[in-house]
Amino acid sequence: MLNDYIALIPELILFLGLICMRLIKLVRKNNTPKTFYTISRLFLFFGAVMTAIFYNQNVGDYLYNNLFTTLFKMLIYIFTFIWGYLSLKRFTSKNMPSFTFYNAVLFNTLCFSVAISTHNLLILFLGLSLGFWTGINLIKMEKEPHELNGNGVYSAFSFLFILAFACGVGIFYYYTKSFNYGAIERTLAIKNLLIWQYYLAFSLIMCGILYMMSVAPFHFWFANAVGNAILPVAGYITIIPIFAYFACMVNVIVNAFYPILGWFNITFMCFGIFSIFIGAIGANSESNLRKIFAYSGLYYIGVTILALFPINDNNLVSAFIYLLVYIVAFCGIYTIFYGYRSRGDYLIELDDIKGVATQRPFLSVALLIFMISLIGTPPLLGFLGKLSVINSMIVGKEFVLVGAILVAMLILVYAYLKIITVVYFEARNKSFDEVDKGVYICMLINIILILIAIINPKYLMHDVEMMLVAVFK
Amino acid sequence: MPHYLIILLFVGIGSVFIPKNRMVYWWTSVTFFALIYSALSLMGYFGSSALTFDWQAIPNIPIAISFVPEYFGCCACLGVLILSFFAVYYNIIVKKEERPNTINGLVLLNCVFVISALLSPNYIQLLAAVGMSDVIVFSSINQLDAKKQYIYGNFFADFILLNTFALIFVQSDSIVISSFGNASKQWGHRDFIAIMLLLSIFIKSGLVMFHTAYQKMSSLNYNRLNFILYLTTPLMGAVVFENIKDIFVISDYSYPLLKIFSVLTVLSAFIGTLCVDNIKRKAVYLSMMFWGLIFMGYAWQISTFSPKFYILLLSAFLFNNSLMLIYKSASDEVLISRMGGFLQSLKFTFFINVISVILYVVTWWIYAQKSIPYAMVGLFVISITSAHVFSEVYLSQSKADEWVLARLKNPLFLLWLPIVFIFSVVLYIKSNDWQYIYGFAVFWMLLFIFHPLRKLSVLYQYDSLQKLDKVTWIYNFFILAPLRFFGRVLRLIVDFVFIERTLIASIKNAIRFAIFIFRKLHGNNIWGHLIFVLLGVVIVAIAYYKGVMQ
Amino acid sequence: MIENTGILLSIIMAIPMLGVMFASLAKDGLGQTTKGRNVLSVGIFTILSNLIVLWITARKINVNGTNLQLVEKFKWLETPNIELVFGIDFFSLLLIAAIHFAVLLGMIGVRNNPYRQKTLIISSLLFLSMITGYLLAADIFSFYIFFEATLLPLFMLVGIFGDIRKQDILYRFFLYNLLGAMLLFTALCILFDTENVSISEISRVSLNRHIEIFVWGAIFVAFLSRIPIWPFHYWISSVNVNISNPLVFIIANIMPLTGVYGLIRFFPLTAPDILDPYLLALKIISITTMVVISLIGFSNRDIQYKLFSYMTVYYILYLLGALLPTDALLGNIGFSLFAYLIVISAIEIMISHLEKEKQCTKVGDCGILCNIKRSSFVLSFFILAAVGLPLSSLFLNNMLIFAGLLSYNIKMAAFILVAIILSSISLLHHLFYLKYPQDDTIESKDICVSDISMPVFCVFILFMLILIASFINPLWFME
Repeated sequence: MLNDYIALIPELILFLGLICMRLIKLVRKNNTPKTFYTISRLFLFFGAVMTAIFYNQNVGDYLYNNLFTTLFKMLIYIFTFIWGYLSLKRFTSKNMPSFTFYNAVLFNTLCFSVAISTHNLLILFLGLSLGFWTGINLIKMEKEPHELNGNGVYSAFSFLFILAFACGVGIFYYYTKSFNYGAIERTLAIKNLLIWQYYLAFSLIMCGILYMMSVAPFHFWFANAVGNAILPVAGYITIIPIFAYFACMVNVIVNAFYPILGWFNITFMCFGIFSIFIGAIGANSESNLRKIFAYSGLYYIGVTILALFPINDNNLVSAFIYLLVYIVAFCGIYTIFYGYRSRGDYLIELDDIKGVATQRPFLSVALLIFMISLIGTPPLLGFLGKLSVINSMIVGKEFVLVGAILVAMLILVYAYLKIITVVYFEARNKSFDEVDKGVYICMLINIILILIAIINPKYLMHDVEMMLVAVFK
Repeated sequence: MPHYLIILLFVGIGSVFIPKNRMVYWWTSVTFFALIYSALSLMGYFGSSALTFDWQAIPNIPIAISFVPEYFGCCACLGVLILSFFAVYYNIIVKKEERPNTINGLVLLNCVFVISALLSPNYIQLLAAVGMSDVIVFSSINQLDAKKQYIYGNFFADFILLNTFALIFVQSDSIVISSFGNASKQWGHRDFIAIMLLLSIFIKSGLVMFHTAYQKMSSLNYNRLNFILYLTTPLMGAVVFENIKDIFVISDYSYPLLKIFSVLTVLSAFIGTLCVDNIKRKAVYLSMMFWGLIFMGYAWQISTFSPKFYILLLSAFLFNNSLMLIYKSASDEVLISRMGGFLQSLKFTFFINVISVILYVVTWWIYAQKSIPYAMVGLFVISITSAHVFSEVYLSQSKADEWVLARLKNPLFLLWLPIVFIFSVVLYIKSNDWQYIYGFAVFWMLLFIFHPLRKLSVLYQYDSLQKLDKVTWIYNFFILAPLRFFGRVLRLIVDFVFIERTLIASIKNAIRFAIFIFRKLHGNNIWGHLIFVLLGVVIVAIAYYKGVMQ
Repeated sequence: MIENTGILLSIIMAIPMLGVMFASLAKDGLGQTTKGRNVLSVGIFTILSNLIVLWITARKINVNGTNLQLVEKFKWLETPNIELVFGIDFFSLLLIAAIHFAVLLGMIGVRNNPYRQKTLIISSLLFLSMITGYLLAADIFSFYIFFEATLLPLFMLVGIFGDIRKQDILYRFFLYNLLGAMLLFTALCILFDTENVSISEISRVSLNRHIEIFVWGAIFVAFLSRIPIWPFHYWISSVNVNISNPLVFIIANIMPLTGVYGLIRFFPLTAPDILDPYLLALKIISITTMVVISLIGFSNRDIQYKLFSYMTVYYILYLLGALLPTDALLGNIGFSLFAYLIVISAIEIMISHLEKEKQCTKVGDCGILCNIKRSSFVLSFFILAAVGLPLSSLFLNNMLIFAGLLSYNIKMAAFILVAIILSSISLLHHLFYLKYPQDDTIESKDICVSDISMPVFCVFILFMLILIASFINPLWFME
């Protein structure tokens, strides 16, 4: 009996962490920002260790762990761990309470962990919706009501899409009498029994997930949310949840909806193309650094979607590599945002960082490296992502998509060039604060990762492929 | 490489690069030694067959170069060496140069390249020698306009020569000049090849239409000017012609073109010598006339590049130097219109001038006697022009400054010694023909005394005529100005109108429009979001319709 | 390819990277001990070290060998199966050496310019490493990797040291180049997915006709994007002619070489029929570019533009020479390019020196050379060498290239020759402009500017000797 639930230990640890954090907040009066970071770090660490230990243990029909789920969970743990560490710098320097943030981070990790592993539509819905909703609420952190311009609208739309997701889940339950992926797949596999309601439910669920991933045309909430939020939140919602949404989408599609996926591929393609162009144009229309990268993130999500469908092992590997490479680079870029400070304020406008290269050369070189990696220029890691995606599309004879990706990339690069220009070529108009050593350490690790991985990527590619294809088994 | 050339080369380079031009006399002695040693070495090669050396200038083509001459080559090289000797001699004696060592060095280096060109068995060696000689001459000219026109013209000529040889190379697959022979009649573009080669040679030798660079050199020191006019590029033109003359039979245009240009050159030089006031410009026209006459010989296939040619060349060089005696005697006065009546004071100088004319004419006769009409043409133009110039200087009414008149004196003996020496040598050789020489002397003296073209001196007053440079104007107006105009128009049309205003502006406007729409849709209004949501729904609906319904 | 297990090629690529590392750690302050040239010394030392390694490499390879030699292979990826292969032949060795010499000259040219010298040297060495890798690349992926990787250091250099007012054009320049790189990437992926072949065997790959048209079109566009080809020359010319830093100018003008080299490597000796329309288009565009740019250079008063037009015309000449249906000219193109790169670098250094000195005198640059003998001598020598007088290996090797072009199509060659004459005369014209004051009111004694120092003059003399040696025997360094 206990053996059946042993795989729940990581989630249980995270849950304990949440309780522990709440208790300490209630009991201990002189909490510092570091207190909650330390707790979350501790529980995240153990959660990660347990996840690795029970990487192939299942919990009845509800949670299926395999290499695929473990890979994504571990990525979430690692990036959450790093981001939590960096976020502490911000809370410490501003001496602001960190409970809300770390509590939400821990809670999100728990939700995503469950959602990734589950083979149950209801749990998937709950995991993702709660995680997403927590993220949406985090945006309000440290903000006065008047600063949250438009947030109500996004919340309303978010609610609408969560509702759509719920409807989709409900429809499936209504007709199949089960939330289980396997049962749904078996039903959908019988072509004679396919009714339009299944298609509708599938569409609603996919739209819900795509909204959470902020894939165009459901992207409109993301850039403003990132632009308005404080840096730890902006970085968090940019970097971490995407792994969960991606993993869940792949998992549910492969294990539940595969029989009726075919007709939706064109939707993915359209959404992908929309994303890359809107992302590229959006990045050019902004002067806010975070918004620029939010829109450029939209481009990368679009490419990931285009690469992923029609789903097969090759496409999955290439889409994942692309996603990973872009998230690594984004993580580096958000790390640099921690370094761009003047008089204690984190700088978010392009004009604020004019000529920063002259005073903070290492940060600026790092920014350059990450952006070049994002462009996909060799010899940086980004090239590996570009190679895997373009190569897989060419194998699939999708030349039009390749053309679209390249054209949109050119537009996007224009926005990057503007950043490089501001950072390197323009004269400095202000003094920048000293940079915390932790920022440098994280940045250096990231750069080393980017450089080492490109020199000998065959192990990364080989092992990742082996882990990803587990989802098909 | 034979040691005589190596010595010339190193002494030349050494002379050019001596810091601050120190040790002038010492280096001049070394220069003379190098020239004499080379001459003696060359004499040692008489009778021996030509030796070749491998040159790795182009790794994929074996080039056999030669610096050891056969009999004729030996004579030619000796001629060049003697001429170089006199160029160095005058350079030192006249003492007009600030850096005599440099000029001496350039003379030696030029000598090396002229000899290389003379002895070249293949056109690679010829081209290299011609090009190097141009660099030497370019360094020798110290006047802006002359330098400019010289290098433009000669760069063009070298380029044409290079490419024409390139064209020949691809057809004959050989670089050996002697291999052209009958094979050249099978080549394609024969007229083009012949015309281009001739054009290049004309430019080098400063034939009519291509003579302005040399005209502009009239402000150079006299000895430097004479060196350039007789020992460098114009000579190179003739050397190139002589080397490749077998090629010209491939085209029916070659000889008519040669005839037209040579006759026009002689004519224009004749008129120029009579009309220009400046004695240095007269000297330039006289050299032009000389080269015109030489090319006339080539055009009518009368003369050959025999040792006689070098004697004639030396005479012409000395004749031009005899004009320098007047110039030196008249305190460096260059305008003929400010001379006249010098006979009283410069009898000896006049005597030297007369023997230089006789020397010139005698050697001309020796050179051209195979064809009497040809010889007579040369005789006629040389006599008329020299008599006219000397009449202007010695007989006409004096218009010289009192200061100049007061300072008139016969030049230093070292200046006229070479003329007398060579005159003596030539007369000794031609001692059987005294009667003809007397006859000519009488004829010339009559021309000198009666001065039949004295009316032409009125032309000296016309400043516009003296400064007339129609050829440069033609180049500027018909070639350079249109090219500049086209350049600017192209820049305007291609760069600004087409690229900037059309192409880039269109792309920019399209992106601006996209950003405008983007901003409209992404403002904080619910309609934009609704449109996006609807769009998503429509896409899904279309996908459903296409994928499921159909 | 002749296989070998040496590491020389890796060393050649790694030395500039090591230089980057050392330069980034070196202090670049204006201290008494270093005179602010610490980083510069690292740069110069790096290049000299690599030149020694190149010389050792030259001794090891067969000059007449047509195959790539000293081949080194690295397994990079298993899925897809990508192996990075590096090799060298005499042609690429000459180009690498010439680029090293050019960058070395550039570094000497910036010795007194302390403005962001560290960034300058680091980016230059990075560029050097990338372009060296490009010239050594023997498989399609390493070729592409280095092809695109050269872009970034260039962009940084031009952005920081170029004209800030022309940023918009700089963006276009970068995007234009990036577009080319992306197209190449796509084409190479298509080729790779069809059949994994070496560069020289690309024409052997059998593709669907439409795809083949695309692939070759992409390859042509990619390499042409590096060359200031009409009508897109404007961006490259606008960017390049506004660079006052000589090292950056030299590097920016080495970029077209990557395009020329790429086409030389990719273009098969026996061109398939599919290439005919591309070749025709290329020739038309090339000749139009040559004529247009030489005319614009001729009418332009800016010496940087004149130099740019000269360089463009010559690059296209080499390109057209290389595309002739023979590989006999490749050696000649290499020898010619060797001298050409040194010559243009030296000219640029001198121009930059004069430009700096011009700021010190009120009379402008007309006749600026009249009182500075060393500079005058050096500039005259290099310009005379540039126009093709027999002072370098340009002279005779160009003759053979012209021969090839003339034999191929005499009308086309005539246009090329006109363009070359125009661009050469432009240079000569400017030489005279610099040498002699043309305004009678200005006395030559009024023009008081500094000459190049004796050590720098000696360096130039050394380079002149190298050029003359290359004229006498292009393989001078082998014997």
